[in-house]
Amino acid sequence: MFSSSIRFICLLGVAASAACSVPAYLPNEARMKFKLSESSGLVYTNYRTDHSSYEPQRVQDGVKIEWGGILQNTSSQPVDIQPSWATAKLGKQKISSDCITRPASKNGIVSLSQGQQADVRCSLVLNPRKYPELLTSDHWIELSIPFLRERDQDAVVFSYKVKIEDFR
Amino acid sequence: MKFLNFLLVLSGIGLSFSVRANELSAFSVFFGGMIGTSILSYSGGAVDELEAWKNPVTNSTVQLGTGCGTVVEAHLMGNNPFNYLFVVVKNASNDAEELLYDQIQMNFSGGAARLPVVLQNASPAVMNPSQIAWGFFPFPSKNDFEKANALTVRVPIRKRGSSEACWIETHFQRNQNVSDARSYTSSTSFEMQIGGGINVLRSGAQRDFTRSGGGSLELGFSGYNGPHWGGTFLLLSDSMGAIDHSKTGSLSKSAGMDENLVAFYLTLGLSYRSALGDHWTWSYDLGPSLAIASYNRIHQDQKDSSAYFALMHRLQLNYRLGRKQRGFWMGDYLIGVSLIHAWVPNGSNAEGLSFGGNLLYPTLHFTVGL
Repeated sequence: MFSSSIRFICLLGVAASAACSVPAYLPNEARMKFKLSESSGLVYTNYRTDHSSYEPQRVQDGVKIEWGGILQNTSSQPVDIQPSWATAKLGKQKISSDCITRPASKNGIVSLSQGQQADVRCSLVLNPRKYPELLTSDHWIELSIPFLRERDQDAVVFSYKVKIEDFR
Repeated sequence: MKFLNFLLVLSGIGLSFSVRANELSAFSVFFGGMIGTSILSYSGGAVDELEAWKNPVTNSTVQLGTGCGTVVEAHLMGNNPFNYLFVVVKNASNDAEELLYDQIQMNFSGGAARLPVVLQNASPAVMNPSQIAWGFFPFPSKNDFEKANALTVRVPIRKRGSSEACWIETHFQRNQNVSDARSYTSSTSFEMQIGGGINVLRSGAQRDFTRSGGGSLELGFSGYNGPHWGGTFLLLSDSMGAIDHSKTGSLSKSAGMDENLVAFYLTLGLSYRSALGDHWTWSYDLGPSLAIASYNRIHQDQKDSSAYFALMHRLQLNYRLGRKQRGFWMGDYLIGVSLIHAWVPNGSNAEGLSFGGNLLYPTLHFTVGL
């Protein structure tokens, strides 16, 4: 009797943990704000012909949102992009994000000479249990890509916002 | 959005252009423009970026530029009949700016210098601070892209109230490793043809019909996703006359004159076409077919229809009589000859009518391409 109760509780626990490991929440979509901007000779667009909005994907520990765009160095000076420093902010909270670039980074840096372009695609995982405020209303997440005009200078940051709609 | 598309269709002959008051709406409007343009240039089908002009690093033709207090994004796009320059200009200054889109210069490396196909002396697009302007601007001819390895686009901007323009340049480079005939070959997306001919070289049971060289009517529809590959739908009807009972040996119930058999072929297949110089094209279509033999014995008021599987293929040679182009619209008028071979493996109906065999149809047709 005792062992069967334990077994039942364990089964319940396994079922509950399996159910909880995949969040029940999925936002309708992550709508990006059109962005075409310039900073210190580097121009960024998040527009791509194949992306009007980003379809969130359910992953094991949350919901994955992908974002990114194309950067072009329009100045005569070289520019270094540091995709590993890319950040995302929800309010004041920082959400870790991963980025891949084309061309691939070397030692965490993508160097662009005049006229050269880079394609930066990043992703982040949102877990509504970790960020419960996502469930209360639509939110904008601020995404940023840092770059260096000169290597000994502080990073300059491109940032734009993605609206997370109806995260319920 | 639908209303916007409707407006674009109504107002967009030769021009698809808009200025929006804020960034977010402009982005949605862009896709409205895509759809609107696609409808306007219904001869063209979907508009895609030109493969041969994509940067392999980004897999996009996008080129970005700055100057004159603005940021510019430009793409090279195209469909079957036209190539387009797609431009977005954002006013990053604190003053109102104007985009003089009817004066955009497109300079090819081979020396050709072109203006976009837009209404000349059109009013400039006004951009207040932070606003953007965008548009699709058709190139006058796709042929300019065939020999060119580079393209410089010069976009004129001026401060509102000023008389002098400031020019922003973006540079496109062709990817030599990519061969993309669609980027420089102008072709139609949809073709409709009407033709007529006779049937010849009948074999099998087809020889049992009295009317050798029966008149055939041809109605064809073809759609192409690029210069070469597409799909076709072909309707062919053939008045084959009566069964020649002296050949079949069957008991004749009536004179052959009051019998008539009409064959209908409905074919859905693949189509491949290719250009032979500036005016000639050939195409080959192949597909399964539904052959319907409609038998009518008039004096007994007896009708019977039987359906058979058939296979049909068609070889066409077309000569372009003319091409009309007006803004986003392009039309071709062609005359041509075709050889249609229909093969009905076997089949007979309750009346003992046998319909299997081969037929060849030489036809003359007239084609309208859009």
